Amino acid sequence: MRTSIAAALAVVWLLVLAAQNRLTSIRTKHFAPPSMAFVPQSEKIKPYLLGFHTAYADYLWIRTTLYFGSEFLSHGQYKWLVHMVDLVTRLNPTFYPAYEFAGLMIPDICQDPDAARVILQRGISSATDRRWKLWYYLGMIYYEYYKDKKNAAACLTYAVTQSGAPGYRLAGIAAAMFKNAGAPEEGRDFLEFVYTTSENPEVKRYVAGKLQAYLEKK
Amino acid sequence: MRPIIEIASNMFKETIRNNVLYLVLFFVVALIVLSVFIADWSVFARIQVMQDFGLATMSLAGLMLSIFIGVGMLGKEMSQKTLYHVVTKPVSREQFVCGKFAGLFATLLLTYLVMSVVFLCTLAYLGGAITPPLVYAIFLIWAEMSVVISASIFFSTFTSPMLASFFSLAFYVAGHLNDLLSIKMVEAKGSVYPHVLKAIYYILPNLEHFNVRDNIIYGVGLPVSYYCLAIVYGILYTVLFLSLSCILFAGKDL
Repeated sequence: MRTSIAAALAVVWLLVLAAQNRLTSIRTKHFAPPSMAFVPQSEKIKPYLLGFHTAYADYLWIRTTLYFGSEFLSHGQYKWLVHMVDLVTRLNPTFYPAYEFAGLMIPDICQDPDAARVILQRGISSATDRRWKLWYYLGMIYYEYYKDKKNAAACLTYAVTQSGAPGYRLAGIAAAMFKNAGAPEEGRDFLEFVYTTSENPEVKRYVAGKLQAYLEKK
Repeated sequence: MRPIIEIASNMFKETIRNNVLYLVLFFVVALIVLSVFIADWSVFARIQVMQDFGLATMSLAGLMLSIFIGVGMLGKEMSQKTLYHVVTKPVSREQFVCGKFAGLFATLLLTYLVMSVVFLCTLAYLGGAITPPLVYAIFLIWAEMSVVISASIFFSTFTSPMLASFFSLAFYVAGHLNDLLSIKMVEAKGSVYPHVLKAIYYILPNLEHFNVRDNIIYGVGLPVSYYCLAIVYGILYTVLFLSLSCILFAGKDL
């Protein structure tokens, strides 16, 4: 009796596993991005969060990373990415990872350096503890996307003056920019520098790929 | 079969008088109606937010009802000693557990019917279309509720109501996070860790299979076979948990 019950349960269990695998494969073929229904239109929702706006910003940040991941694996359109990152920084102006993400990813994948610039400037004025990095990213955006070497170098000189900045490296890069450099070594230095200083594993992975492509093009 | 029907009928009458049921129903109905105003704050259109919010609320209602009612079901019978009146009769313990589950499920099915009608009427009032996928999504929520309740009953057969509530909540959360395990399995390194993750992935049910809200909001259609298979999946898991509950309860020293 016990053996037959155990056998029956084992059969049910195997059917469950088969159903689970089949359901997973069907869902993978009919993939839908995560819902944006819980993303507010603007930071005007802040008073209604009753003081929990930083907690909501944290939740929104998790949704942002999940949204980025799902779009990266599927359509690659990132329609709401800028809005979500912007909203996270408005709800919690001291949330550094969102600024780093804006500085590194948004100009490239969303083709929107203006949005990245605005978000970074907000971060610079909000007294985060790694402000030198935000100046550095802003400088790179001026250099790479606006082709404005003068402003780029100015941003890097501001970065050098912030606490915690690796002054000698930034000064060298700023000097090279000021010399109207077009040398490829600058690009390599920038990528290597971001890779070694970033604490975000996803950013490191992304930059490692960029560096490899950059070296192969050379 | 008759004892099961009798116990189920008694359980139905008992549960329908439970105040917690009406409290949860009231809150769910209120939330569904309030979502009309919350929807104005979102980046999405009102109808999409309502669909998402309404389905999410009904899913959470199943969790609340299984914790507040399902978990204490067996424990209450044992503590009040009313169980002894039943087991001394020619009713097996397996029939008792199945009857209790059937009665509770029937009550909650009625509750969900009310919630679904309110949800669909509110959606229709706002101009939203009641599409077949939306109705199928409600059926999947019922299937999910069945799995969660059977899991709650399973936990209540071998532990106290408080711990069973905690386990039920953890079960619900883990079931919905199960998808992330499949991603982690691919990335995991080492000889033991990936297999541990794989074991956990297959032991826990993947409750995300009952969650088709994103597909409905974005209009990404799923084949009808998916909905049928998901309901079968829910039934199989319910049978599994009920069987384990019967085995544990049959061997329990009352």
